[in-house]
Amino acid sequence: MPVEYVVALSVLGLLAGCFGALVGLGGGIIIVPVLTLLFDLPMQTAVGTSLVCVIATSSAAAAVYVQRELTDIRLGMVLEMSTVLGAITGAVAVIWLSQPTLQILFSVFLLYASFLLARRRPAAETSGEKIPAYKVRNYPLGMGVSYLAGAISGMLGIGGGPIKVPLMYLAMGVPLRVATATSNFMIGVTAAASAFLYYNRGSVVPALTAPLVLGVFAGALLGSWLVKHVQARWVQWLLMVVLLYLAYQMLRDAFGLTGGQR
Amino acid sequence: MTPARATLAIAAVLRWGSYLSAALILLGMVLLLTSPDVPLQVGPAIPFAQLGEQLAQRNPYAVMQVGILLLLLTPVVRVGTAVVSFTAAGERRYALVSLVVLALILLSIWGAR
Repeated sequence: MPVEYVVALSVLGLLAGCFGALVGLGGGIIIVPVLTLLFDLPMQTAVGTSLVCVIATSSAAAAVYVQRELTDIRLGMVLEMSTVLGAITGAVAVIWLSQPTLQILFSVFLLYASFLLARRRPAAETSGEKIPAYKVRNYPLGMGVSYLAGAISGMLGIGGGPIKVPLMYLAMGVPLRVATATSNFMIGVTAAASAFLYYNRGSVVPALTAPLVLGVFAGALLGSWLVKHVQARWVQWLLMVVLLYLAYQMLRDAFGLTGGQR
Repeated sequence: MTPARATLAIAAVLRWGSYLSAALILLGMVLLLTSPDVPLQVGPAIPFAQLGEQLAQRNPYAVMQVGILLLLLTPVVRVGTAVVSFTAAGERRYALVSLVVLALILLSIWGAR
């Protein structure tokens, strides 16, 4: 296997894992477009490969969040019933969607995520502060939106944090830090449910996945170290520019404006 | 099992699942990059039935693949741990919820065969 390939994939994983740890966003949302645009992989293979990376990010981060008791395990398990069902639906439905349709859907999600980033104020890291008492409300809405989040995750190969975190924080009365930790906790299980379907369809390529996953693990470590040394605001702006650029390129590709490479 | 111990058990599954799969994937990569005679194989995964045999032959791709499968199984084992923890703590409602999640994932694995 060409060494350049291994290096390029590891760097992609490193960047994705690093953004993920710094901003809480940027695993699958970077990996899928880069794999399709730069490595010329079909959408389904990119999605299957990305789902494995999403599990890597989630498991590593969730272990820390659970141990610090930031995760609402009970709420997470209840919502997982819908996200997992959604993930299976998404991974099955994807067979009937064309490559351009998937790319357009992905671009819409990229634009939505950059919009969220533009509006977000970097949360002051108040790790010592106690979490206020809260009571979870709006379970029916939560289950419905979680199903949708699961379906999008299964179709597009992303974790779906930008849907789950606002849902729990704004609609269900969960404090932001708990919402972030719980969303992360749910992402691994959601991604696993659809990843097995992609795996058996042959859409997870071990030779590509391995260097990516190692990069993601290393990037997550690097990111959690960098978080104390860089300004969150700049990282968010940088990620926003990256996402907007990827959306632009993906839309061009979807509408066949890239010079007919495919 | 006390809630605190259940939390620790779930965290341990997630942590060790990540470590172990990362170690196996890394081992596979090292084997691949240090053995020039292994052909380039950018294709789908090796079928389950041949995985053991390929592993015995120290095929780097088989080692990587076991690491990837372990990574995919980590969240599943985590849900299983939640079932056991909630049952042991007498929280029957959440034990049932976790069992539903586990059943759905197992259904997806079974359906994927």
